[in-house]
Amino acid sequence: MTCEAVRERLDDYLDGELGEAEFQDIELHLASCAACREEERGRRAVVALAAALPRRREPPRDLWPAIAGEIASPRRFAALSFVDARPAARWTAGLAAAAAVVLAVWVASREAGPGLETAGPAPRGVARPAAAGGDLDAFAEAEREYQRATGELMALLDARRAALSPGTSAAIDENLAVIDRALAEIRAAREHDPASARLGRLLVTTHQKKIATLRRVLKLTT
Amino acid sequence: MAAFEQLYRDHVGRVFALCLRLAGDASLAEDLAQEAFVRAWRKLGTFRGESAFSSWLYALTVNTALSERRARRRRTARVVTTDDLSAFDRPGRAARPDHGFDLERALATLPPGARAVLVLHDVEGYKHKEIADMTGIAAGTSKAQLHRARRLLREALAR
Repeated sequence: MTCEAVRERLDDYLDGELGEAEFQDIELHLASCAACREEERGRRAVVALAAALPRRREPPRDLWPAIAGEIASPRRFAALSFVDARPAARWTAGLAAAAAVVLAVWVASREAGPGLETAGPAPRGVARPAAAGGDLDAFAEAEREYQRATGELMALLDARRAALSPGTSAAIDENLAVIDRALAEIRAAREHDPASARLGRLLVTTHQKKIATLRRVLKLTT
Repeated sequence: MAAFEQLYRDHVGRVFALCLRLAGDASLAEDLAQEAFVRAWRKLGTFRGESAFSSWLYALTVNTALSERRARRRRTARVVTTDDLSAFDRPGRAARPDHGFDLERALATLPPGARAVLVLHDVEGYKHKEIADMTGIAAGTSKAQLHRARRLLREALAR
C-alpha cells in the first residue's frame, strides 16, 4: 500500500470501519513507515481530544425566561429571522394534551431511576481506538460509559421481557452471555497488556456489538 | 410548563455546547439553543418515546443549527469571518496542558461543513449514516468532510 492510499483510509482505520484484510494492510504499512505512523499519531490525538471535550457548556445567561416568553406568546416564531417561513403548526389543545402526557411519562421514568429513559445513541467516540493504549483513564471512563449504556438497555429489555416468547428470551440471553464472556476475556487480556491498541479496539467493537444486539432485540419488542 | 422548564434545566448544557460548536459563535449559539427549546415545545406531541428524549432533543438541536446555517448561506454571499472566539476561553475547554493546543478554538476556525461533521461524529458519537440522515448530505460526503476536518486539525495540532 502506498502512503497516499494509507492516509486516505486512515480515518476508517481509526474508526474501526475497515475489513480485516485492509486493516492488516494498513497495520503492515504503519509498522514500516515512520511518516505514516506520525500521521496516525496526530490523527489519533485529534480524535482523542475531540472525544474528551466536555459535553456540557452552560450558556452565559439563563435562556429560560426568553424561552418561556416565546412559548407563551402566540407569535413566538416571529422572533428569529432564520426560522422557516412556513406557517408554524397550530398549538392545538389535543397536541398540548399529548405533550403533557409524554412529559409526565418521561419525568416519571426519570424519577423511577436509570434505565427507563433511554435507548439513545451509542456512547460517543471516547472509546474509539484513539483512546486505546494511550489515555487509560479516558479508556476506563469510556468503558464505564458503555457499561452504563448497556445497563440502561438491559433494564429496558427486562421491562419488556413479557413481549418475548420464552424461547426467544433464552436465545437472547445465550447470545448476550457469549458477548459477556468475550468481554471478560478481553478485559483479562488487557490486564496483562493495558496499552495494547488491538485489545482496546476489540473491547470497543465487542461493546458495540452488545449494544447493537440489545437494540435489535428491543426493536422486536416494540 | 414546570415540567418543560425542568427538561430545559437538565439539557441546556448539552444543547448549548452543541450549538456553540456547530455555530462557532457564542451569541448565535444562545439564539440557536433558545430556538431549539422553543421548537422542542412545539413538536413535543410528535415525540413518541421510541428513542430517549435527549436523543430526540439533540437531533432537533442539530437540525435547528444546520437549518440556520443554510438560511444564512442563502442570505449572504460572502463568507462570515467574525466568529467570536472569546466564548471558547472559559474553563472546561479542552486545551492540552502539555501541548497548549485548544481544540475548541481550532474547531471554530474549520469550514462549517467539516466542523459540523467532526462535532457530530467525534464529539457527539453519531455514525456517518445518522449524520447523513440528520444533515441531508450523503454518508460518503460525511466521511470526506470528517477526513478534511481531522486533517486540518491535525495540521493545526502540529504547528
